[in-house]
Amino acid sequence: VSGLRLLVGLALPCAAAFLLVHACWRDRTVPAPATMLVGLTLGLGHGLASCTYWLALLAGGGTPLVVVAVDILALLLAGTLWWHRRPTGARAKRVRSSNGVDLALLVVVLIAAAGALAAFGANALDSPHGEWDAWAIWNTRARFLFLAGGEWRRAFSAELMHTNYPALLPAAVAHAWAYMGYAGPAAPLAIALTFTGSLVLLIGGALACLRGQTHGLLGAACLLAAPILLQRAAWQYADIPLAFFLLATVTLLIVADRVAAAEQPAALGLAGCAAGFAAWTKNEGALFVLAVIVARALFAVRTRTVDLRRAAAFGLGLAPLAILYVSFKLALAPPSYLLSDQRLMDYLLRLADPARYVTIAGAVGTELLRSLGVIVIVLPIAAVLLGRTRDPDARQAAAWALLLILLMAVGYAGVYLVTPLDLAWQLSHSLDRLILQLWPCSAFAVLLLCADPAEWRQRPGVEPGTTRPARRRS
Amino acid sequence: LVLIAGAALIPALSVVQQLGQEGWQRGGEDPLGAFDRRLAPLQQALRGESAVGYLPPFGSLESPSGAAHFYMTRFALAPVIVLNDVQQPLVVADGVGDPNRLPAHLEVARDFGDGLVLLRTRTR
Repeated sequence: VSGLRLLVGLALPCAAAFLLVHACWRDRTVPAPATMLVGLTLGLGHGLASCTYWLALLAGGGTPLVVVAVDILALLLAGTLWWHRRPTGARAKRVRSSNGVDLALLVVVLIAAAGALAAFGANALDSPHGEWDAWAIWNTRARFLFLAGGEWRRAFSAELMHTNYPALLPAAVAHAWAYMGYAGPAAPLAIALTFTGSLVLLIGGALACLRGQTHGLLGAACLLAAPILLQRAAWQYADIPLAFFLLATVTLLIVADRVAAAEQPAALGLAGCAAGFAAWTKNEGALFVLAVIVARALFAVRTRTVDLRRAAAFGLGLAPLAILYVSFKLALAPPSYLLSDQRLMDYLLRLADPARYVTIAGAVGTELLRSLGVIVIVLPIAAVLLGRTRDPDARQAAAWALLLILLMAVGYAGVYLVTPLDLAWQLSHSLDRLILQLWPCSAFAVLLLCADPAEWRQRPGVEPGTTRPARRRS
Repeated sequence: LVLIAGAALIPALSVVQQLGQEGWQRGGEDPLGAFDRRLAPLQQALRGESAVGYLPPFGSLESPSGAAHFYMTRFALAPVIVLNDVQQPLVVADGVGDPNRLPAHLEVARDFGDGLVLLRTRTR
């Protein structure tokens, strides 16, 4: 019975997310692959669940009745939006290019996914409550939210650990527990599994949508090739959810550039919403929001396509989550260790220390290989062998995404440079997770830039095969 | 494409090999789950309290096992905040075998068995 209740608890916000995604992406000339829709629905559904639970906490201490009422209200609102914006007209036929290569790649992806599922199962049986950060930070906080009733603000007491971390993951877990009726490990495990699955489906679907089936399968293969993804999926950390929201933002922004002009604001709003969920998941997500704004602004200025209406549409989607994040930071979260009791001179002294740069660079090199395995070498080799695509839209989108990743990497390096904590200790305890956060976006951007096999086979100057979906520029 | 496909299969094959050697459940029973169940009666007894003190069984929280025990206790007793402080009106002690080790100002309020006790400030 509790399993069924858990299913209902996960399904209600996902249904609302499904309607929201359909309402915001209704341009049928750029149809979304089912894998991308499922990925977006599951991931954004968990984000929505955390928000409805937060509202239920504010409204009535998060009692199950209030949680269900807020969920139904969210579903009705999403349903109304979908009804007013339901797609009309014929859906464009996707040109399928199923060939021997795609079939072979599909078999590889299925085998790799089965391996990932087996790893998840083994780790979940071994540690159903997750690893250290999961039970010591995220699930402990979820327990406070779920069990404390009207005293739920106790979850952010300065006495507890890392209470300045945002609350998407614990609130989503507590939301599922509200349906189950007790704080069992099935809920965080189910959320961890669906976030990992959504990430793989999203990269596969997004690349299939933008570059064709082969690239979609290569994207999924690249993610599943990273040992850290298989290992961390069942650890129930917040890095895979964050990686999902980073990738969702990037892919939705690129899709928004391709849909009809009239449909762009809604797609941009959905991208803004995904970026907001990133900030609501971890503090690194707030850095990501800033990096997205800077990268988009730089590109708009460079390509002379500054459009304030598009920026406003993105901001409108971001606004509710930004308000949630800022109000959480102002009202509940204690200051971060990076800012408390630090003088400007402390930061400058650390920034001027060349040994810190060497330590960080050395750790990045070692950790990239350890976390991502051979794919970190194989993907650049494959990219060089395949060459750049001749598709100018894809090249521009990839360049923008790579700039965004570079800005994020610079931001992460900046935090390591000025951290008051022991640098070696902090690198050893967090660098692998930062790599995990950025890997899906990096693999996506590199594959977006690569020529597809049809282009590769053709001589220069010959039009590539029509394996990609139709695109439209505003 | 072959390179990427090959790289994608490596972790899956590694998992199969590892499971073949170690089996599905490598560590036996989930230690945190067992710990959580053992502390469940104490969590019930603390219902209504907002915070409780903590007497570490391993001397200090500096050692990995000491820190792990402290955070596991926090996890199991949530939503009661466990403070590393014996000056609270109620104090949790787990695995303190020798009663003479208890601070002089504390007395046993309730014994949950298996070394788990709830202490309170001694009344004069």
